[in-house]
Amino acid sequence: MSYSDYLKSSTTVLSLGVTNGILSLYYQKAKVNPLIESEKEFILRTYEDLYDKYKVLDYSTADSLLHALCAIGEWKKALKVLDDIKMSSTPSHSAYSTLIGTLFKCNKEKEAMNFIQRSLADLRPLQHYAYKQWIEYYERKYKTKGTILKHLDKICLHISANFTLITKETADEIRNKYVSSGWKADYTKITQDSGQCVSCNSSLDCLKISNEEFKLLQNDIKNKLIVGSDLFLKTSPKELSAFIKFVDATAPYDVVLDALNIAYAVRNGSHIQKMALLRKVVDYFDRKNKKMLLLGRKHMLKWHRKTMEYLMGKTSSFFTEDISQDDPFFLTAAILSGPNTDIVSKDLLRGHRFVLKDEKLKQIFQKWQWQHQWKVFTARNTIIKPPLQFTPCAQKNDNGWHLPYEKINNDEKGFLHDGIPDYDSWLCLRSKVAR
Amino acid sequence: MINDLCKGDADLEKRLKILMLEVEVMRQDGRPAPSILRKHHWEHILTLASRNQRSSYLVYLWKTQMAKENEKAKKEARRKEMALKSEQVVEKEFPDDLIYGIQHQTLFLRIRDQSINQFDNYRALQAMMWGQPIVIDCSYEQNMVWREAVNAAKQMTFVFGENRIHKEPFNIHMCNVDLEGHFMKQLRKNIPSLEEPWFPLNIHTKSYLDIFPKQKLVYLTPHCREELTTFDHDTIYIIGCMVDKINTEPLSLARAKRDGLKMAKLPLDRYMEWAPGANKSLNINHMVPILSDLKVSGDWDHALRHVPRRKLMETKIMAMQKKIRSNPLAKEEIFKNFNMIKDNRIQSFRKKRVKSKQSLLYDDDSI
Repeated sequence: MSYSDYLKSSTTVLSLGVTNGILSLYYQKAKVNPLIESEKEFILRTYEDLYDKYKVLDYSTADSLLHALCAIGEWKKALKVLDDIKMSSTPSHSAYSTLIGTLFKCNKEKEAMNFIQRSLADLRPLQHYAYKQWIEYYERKYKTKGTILKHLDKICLHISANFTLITKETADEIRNKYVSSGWKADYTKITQDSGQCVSCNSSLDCLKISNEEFKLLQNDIKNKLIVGSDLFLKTSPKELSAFIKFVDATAPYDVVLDALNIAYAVRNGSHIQKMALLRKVVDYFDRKNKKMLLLGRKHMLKWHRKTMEYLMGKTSSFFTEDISQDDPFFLTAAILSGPNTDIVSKDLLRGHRFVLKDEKLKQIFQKWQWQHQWKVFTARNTIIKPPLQFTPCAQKNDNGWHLPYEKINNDEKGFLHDGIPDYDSWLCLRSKVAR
Repeated sequence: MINDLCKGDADLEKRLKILMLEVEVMRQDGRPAPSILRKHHWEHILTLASRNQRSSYLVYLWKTQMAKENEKAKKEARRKEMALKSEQVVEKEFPDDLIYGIQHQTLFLRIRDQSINQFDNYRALQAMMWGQPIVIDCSYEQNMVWREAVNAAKQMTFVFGENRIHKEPFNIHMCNVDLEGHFMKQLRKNIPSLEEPWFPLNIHTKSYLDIFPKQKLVYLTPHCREELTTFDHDTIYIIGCMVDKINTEPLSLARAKRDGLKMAKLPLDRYMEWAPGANKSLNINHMVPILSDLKVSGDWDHALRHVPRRKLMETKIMAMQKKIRSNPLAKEEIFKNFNMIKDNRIQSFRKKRVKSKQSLLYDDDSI
C-alpha cells in the first residue's frame, strides 16, 4: 500500500505495467475494506488519462481497469471498458462476473440480466461474486419473505436452465438465504439407482425431451456426426447412402446395439467369449420383445459363424467397413429411428457430443443419453445396466429445489468418470409447509 | 510500419494498436515478449484470434530471440579465446623443424563442406535418375496451423538431408505443393537453393495421380487396417506430409479413400512393444529412413530402429525405475496413487470393470 502511495507521489509518469499493478491492488483491497477518497480519485483519473492517451486499451490494462472501476461502482465506465476488451479477445469469467455483480449492487437489474445473457453467450458462466450480489439485491429490494423466495426461485431457474454447476461457496450462500427465509436447506446425497434424495426422500424427476428439441437433434445428427467437415474421414458416400436406405427400410427400432463396444466389454477374451456376451445381451432384449438393430464392423463377420447367424436372425443388422467408424452410425440410427429408441454402449460418447458444437444441442444430447443409454459391464457376471430413471441436473419439484454443486476438494485420483455429476454433492431446498 | 500493415483500414489499425499495447504491457509486466518485432511478425499476430495464441507465439519468438543472443555471446567468447590461443607461437626445438597439425603441415587433403555437399547431391541426383520414387503428399497445409506447417517444413528438410546421405536414396517427389504457403516459405528459408534447376528434389504442384500410374501407388497411413509386410521395390509409396498435433482426424485415410488408392501401415505392433498412450503416427523424417533401410535390408527390426525410443515401453519402464531409484519418496507416492485408485474403485465403482493396472501405472498423468 505504502509503496503504491510512493509510486503515485513520485513525479515520473507511471508506466502501464505499474498502473495495472496499482489498479488490481485497489480491486483486491476493495474486497476487504472500502477504498479511501484519494484512491477512488486515482482510479477515475487513470481511466481518463488512459483513454486520452491511447484511445483504445489492450486486454490486461482494460481488465484491471474494469475490476477497479467496478470496485468503486462506476458501472457505466466499466461497460465501455468491457467493449474494449471484446475488440481483442473474450472477457474473462471474472470480468463478466464482477461487472454483473456491480450492476446488481447498483440496483440495475435490467442491465445485469442483459449481461448475464451476454456472458453465457461467450461461454462464461457466472462466478460466486455475481451470484452473491444477485441474492443480496433481492434481499435489499423486497421486504417480505414470500417475495424474496419468489425471486430466489429465478436464480435457481437460471442455474437449472444453463446446466451450470455452482461452487460450494455459492451453494452456502443460497442455502443461508433459504434458511433465513424459513425453508429447510440441507446438503444431501442422491442415491445412484433411484435418484432419491437422502434428505427429503423425494426422487429427482426425469426431464423429458420435448418433441421440438428432439426434432432439432434429429435434423442435425447425420450431418454433424457422420459427414462432419469431410465425408471421407468417417465413411464413404456409397456406404452412407446404403446406410440411410437401410434405416429408412427397417426403422423404427426399440434398441440399437453398439456391437463392438458390447463385445469388447470382455477385455482380453477370445472371439467366442465376445460373441457369447453379445448373444447374452441380444437374448436379454429378445425376452423383452424388443426390436433390435445390431451395428458393427465387417470384420465381425469372420468371428464365430453360427452365433453370428443366430444374432443376425434375431436382429436387423448393419456392418460398416473396417476403416469406417461405427459409433456415429449407431447413434445416428438410434436418433433417426425416433424418440423411444434406446442405445446399448458403455462409451461416454463425449467426443460425439463435442462435434455437435452447438451448446443447446449438446445439452439435449446429454439428456437423451442419460435417458436412453444402457451399459453392459462384465465383472464376475454380466451386468446390463438400464438408463437413469432420473435426470441428474438442477430441477424443481412440488416442494422445492435440488441443485448439484462442485465439491471443494475434488482430489480423488482414479475417480472413474461416468458422465454423471457427483451423487454426493447436492443441495436440497424445500419449504417446511408441504404445498 | 502501421500504415504499411493496415493500408488505411481503420478497424485494422485500431486492432493493431491494441495488440501493440498488449505486447508493451507484457514487456512491462516481465512476461516473455521479444524486444523487437518485425513487420511479418505483426502480420502473423494480427491473424491470431485469441489472447492465448498470441501470448504463446510471443513466447516462441522470445525464446528464439534469446537463443540467438546466447549463441552470439558464446561465439564472441570463443572468438576471444581463440585469439588468445593463436597468439601463442609454437616453439620449435630447432629452427628447421617441421610442425604437424592444423594450420601447419599435414599428410591429409582437407575436404571442405562444399565438396561433401556436392558428393551428397551427386548421390541424390543419381537417385533421381535410377532410384525408386517416393511421394511426399504436401496437400495438408490447410489442415495445419502455422506452427505445424513450420514443423512440417523442418521435418521435410531432415528428410531431404537424411535421404541423400543414405546408401541407396529414394527419388523424392513432393506433390500437391502450394508454392505460396507457409510450408514452402519455411522450406525455402531452410534450404535456400531449393528452387535452383540443379537441385536434386522434385517439386510438383500437380497431384501424384497425374504423375504416376494409379495401380502402382500405395498410401501409407497409420489409420488403415492392412499392414505392410514386405517392401515392394516396384510400388510407389506415398507419405502424407502433415503434423497432426491439433487436428487428429484421419486425414490421410480420407484422402486415400477419396482417390481410391491402396493403403498400408507399418507393422509397428508386430515388432515393438509400445508405451501406452504413445502416438503411433510417425514423423516423415522417421518414415523415410525406415523405408530406405527396409529397401536395402528387408529387415524390419533393423529398419524400425528409427522409431523414437520415447514411444516404447522399455523407455517408460526405465524412466519409472530411475525415478524410484533417485527418489524413494516417489515410490511411495506412486504406490499411494495406485492404492487410492483401488480404494475408490471398491467404494463407488465396484461394478465397473477394472481399468488395466498397467495402463494406470504407466499413464503419463498418474505418474
